[in-house]
Amino acid sequence: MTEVSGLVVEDLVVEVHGTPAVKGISFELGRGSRMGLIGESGCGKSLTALALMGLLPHGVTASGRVLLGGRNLLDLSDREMCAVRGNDIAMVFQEPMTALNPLMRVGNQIAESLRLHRGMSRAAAAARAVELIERVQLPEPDRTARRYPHQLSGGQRQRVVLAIALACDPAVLVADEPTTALDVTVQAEMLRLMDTLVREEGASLLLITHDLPVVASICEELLVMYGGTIVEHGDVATVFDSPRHPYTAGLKASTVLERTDGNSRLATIPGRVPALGAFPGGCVYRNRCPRADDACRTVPLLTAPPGSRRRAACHHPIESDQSLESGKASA
Amino acid sequence: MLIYFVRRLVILAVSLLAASVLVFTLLALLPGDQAQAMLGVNATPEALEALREQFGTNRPFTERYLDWVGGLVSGDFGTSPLSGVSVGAEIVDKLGVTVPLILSGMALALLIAVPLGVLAAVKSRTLLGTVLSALSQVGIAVPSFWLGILLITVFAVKLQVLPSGGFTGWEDLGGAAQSLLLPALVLGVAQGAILMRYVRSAVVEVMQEDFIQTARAKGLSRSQALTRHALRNAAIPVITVLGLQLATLLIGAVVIENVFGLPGLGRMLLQDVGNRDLLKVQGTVMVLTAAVLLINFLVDVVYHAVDPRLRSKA
Amino acid sequence: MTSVADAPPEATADVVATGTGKPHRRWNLTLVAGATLVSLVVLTAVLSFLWTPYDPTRVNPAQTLVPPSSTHWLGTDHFGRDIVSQLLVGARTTLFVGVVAVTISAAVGVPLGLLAATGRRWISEPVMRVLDIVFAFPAILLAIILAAGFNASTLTGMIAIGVANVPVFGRLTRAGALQVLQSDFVLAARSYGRRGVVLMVRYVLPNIAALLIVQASVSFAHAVLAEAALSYLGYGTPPPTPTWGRMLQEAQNYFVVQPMLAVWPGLAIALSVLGFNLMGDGLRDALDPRLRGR
Repeated sequence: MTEVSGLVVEDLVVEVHGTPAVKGISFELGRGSRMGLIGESGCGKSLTALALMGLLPHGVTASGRVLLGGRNLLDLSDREMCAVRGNDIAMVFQEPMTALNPLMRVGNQIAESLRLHRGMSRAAAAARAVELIERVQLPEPDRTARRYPHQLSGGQRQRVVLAIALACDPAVLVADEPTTALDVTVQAEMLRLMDTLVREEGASLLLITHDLPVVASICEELLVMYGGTIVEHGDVATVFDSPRHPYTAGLKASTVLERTDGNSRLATIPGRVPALGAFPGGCVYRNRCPRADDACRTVPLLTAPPGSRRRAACHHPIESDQSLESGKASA
Repeated sequence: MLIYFVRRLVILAVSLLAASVLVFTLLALLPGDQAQAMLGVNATPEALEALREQFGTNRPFTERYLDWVGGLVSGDFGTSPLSGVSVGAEIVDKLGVTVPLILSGMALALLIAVPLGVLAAVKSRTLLGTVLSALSQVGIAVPSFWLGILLITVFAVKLQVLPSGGFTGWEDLGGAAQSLLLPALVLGVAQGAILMRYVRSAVVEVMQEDFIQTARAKGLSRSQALTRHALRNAAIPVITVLGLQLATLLIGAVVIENVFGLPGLGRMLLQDVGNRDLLKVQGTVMVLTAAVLLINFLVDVVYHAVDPRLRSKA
Repeated sequence: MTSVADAPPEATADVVATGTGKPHRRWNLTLVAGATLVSLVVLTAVLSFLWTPYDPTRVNPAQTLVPPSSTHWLGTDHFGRDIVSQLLVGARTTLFVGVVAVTISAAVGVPLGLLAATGRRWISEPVMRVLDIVFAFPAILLAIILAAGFNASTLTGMIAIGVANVPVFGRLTRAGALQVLQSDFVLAARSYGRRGVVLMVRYVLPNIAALLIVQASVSFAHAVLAEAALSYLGYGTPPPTPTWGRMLQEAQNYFVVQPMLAVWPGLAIALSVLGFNLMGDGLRDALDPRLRGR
């Protein structure tokens, strides 16, 4: 495996049939760091993940730079990218029920990756697959390897998917809503397992979710995405405690109220995520934002106040002492 | 798996039994008295009665049915009162033409459908894919007997490279193959066009499945994902269709044998219907129906063997 | 249909994002092409009632097997009958048989399918098994059996084709109904006491109507093919009424002299079948966007 420092994304644009869905985002995922990417559905999170993997569907194109180990992945041919996928950068998908080939024993599905990238023999790959099954803490690794996906529960399948992703010790693991489809009781275990393994491997993790507490539980850094742009970036604790962007505040408010008081009306952000291409000009959030005014007709830059690493793209950022109030306001 | 197999076997047996009742009843209830047909309207009642006695058609319905089915089980299809030949022997004789015709037709259909269908699926967004889809639509719409007539016109009448019909018998192997070439081709094109559509849609559908994305994320190329993961999954719906196709192929053969004058089961059936040789018709229809049911049974069993989800459910 | 309206915004975004939403132009073309061909056949049949160049059954010994000319646009057959006139009237038979056969299939198959979907095993199992057995009798075989007793006629052909396709409608209806019965809005309807015939007619049928319409179009294509084959074999509509299938059968004896005689009826059959199949495909795409491109 090539020595990789981390993942650098510069000005990534993803266009769906010519309409930009991800509008030039940049971030840096340091080696061994764990970053959360959060936002509502339709804000471009999954497209970002697929763009990193070079797995965008037909009619969807990516431009900009995705640097891994000194190479721009977007410049690679599909053939070159095949050597990177699963080897340097791997992915865990949202839907464990459908992410595995129903006609293939799970052990073989894990071994396939090893045979492909490591050139292992059938027997060696099979043995390693059993070890990996053990690492993702599935019971009876030997027997489990010989099982078909339908014989496993959703949580168990997601562990298999994780084992496939980690088989070749990738430098970067992209996890797209890895716990959303799981039972609540299994979610925490799965997150803990992913956290442990990523730590042990020294891999970097990009965790995509719409669930703020999930990010808070295992990530260090947080990216908040809306309308194809990054609206806020900083370390998890700070952003979570005192969001500067009204969208982040709205997300947090909906989560916090939901968790603390089941009887009160759920806090929601007014309106819904516009369809692709229907976001307003200027600040993408201004049609739903309680703070929007004429200044928001121009695109806000993602900037940090002096002496801080926290960046937010807002003309009227919330100052720390206001955040609680804003949370209530939108409730 | 075993439980499933046994259960399916019981269903097959019951279906065969029901089909035999249906075939027998249908033909017994049809108007038209064989004796009358043979002797004409001027026959005396005594002569008619004598002939009915000889045919056994004056015996009670259930007795005749049990007789017939009892014979079927031991492989005895009875003797045609009209021609005096053993129905079973005739059927076996004709199967010597029909079975090779159907099998070669199926083989050609697969040779056409699988590569073209996969290609049409992989290239579904390109001009080639559209052209291939359009071709299969045309292939489905063209009646097989028309295609047969056109091929005869071109290859037998104009170019004179192949016989226009008839069958020389298996003693002359080359001649037999030549006689079967055009009919098999016609069956193959007709069925291949239909099958190709199923192959295409099965592959297109499977290639959109999440596990293909997982395979790609592992580092498999598109073609590796296709061959290692998609094709086997796509095979499941195609196998089902294949079984149903074999059944339609059987009927297609009835028509095609008549286009090419091949002495097979289908041609015999039509002649027997024309002659009102009901016992032979009954036997032939029963064989065709049993073949369809048997094929469906085999398809179900294969289907369960291929798909582990069904295998363990039993 | 409700599911589309209630879908969260991500659903629409997903369709765009995965690129499965094809440009609309494409299915429209299929539908338009199919509907055009079908209308052509229908118009031909209608026209044949009002006008044909000649009496299609008029035998003219002086003008047998003449090549196409200004008097006989596509020539005449071995009896001197005008080909164009026969083709026009043949469209009638084709459509008539198709309409009646598909009506029989749907009228018997849909209620049976609904019955089999109601869930009680002792009723659904026998119904499905009977359909399986009927399924083992293809249309042509049934027609031939019927012809062994009755004289082959348009009626025996229609009944055979219709009955043979009952299992197709039965199975489709059952599968569709089972799916609809599991959906939330049916559960809701059940929870406030809707059941039996009312549930089936008011809730289930409208939701599988699209499936059935598509199947009707495809079955129509099958019926046209089966009718043509039966006429060709001499088990369909008897002479002198012209049918495309029998025109082909007669042409086969004369293709050394007039090979084109075998081309026109075949073309007519193929275009009709193509039309109904394309229309079915186009309708499927138009009525059920989820299946687009499959």
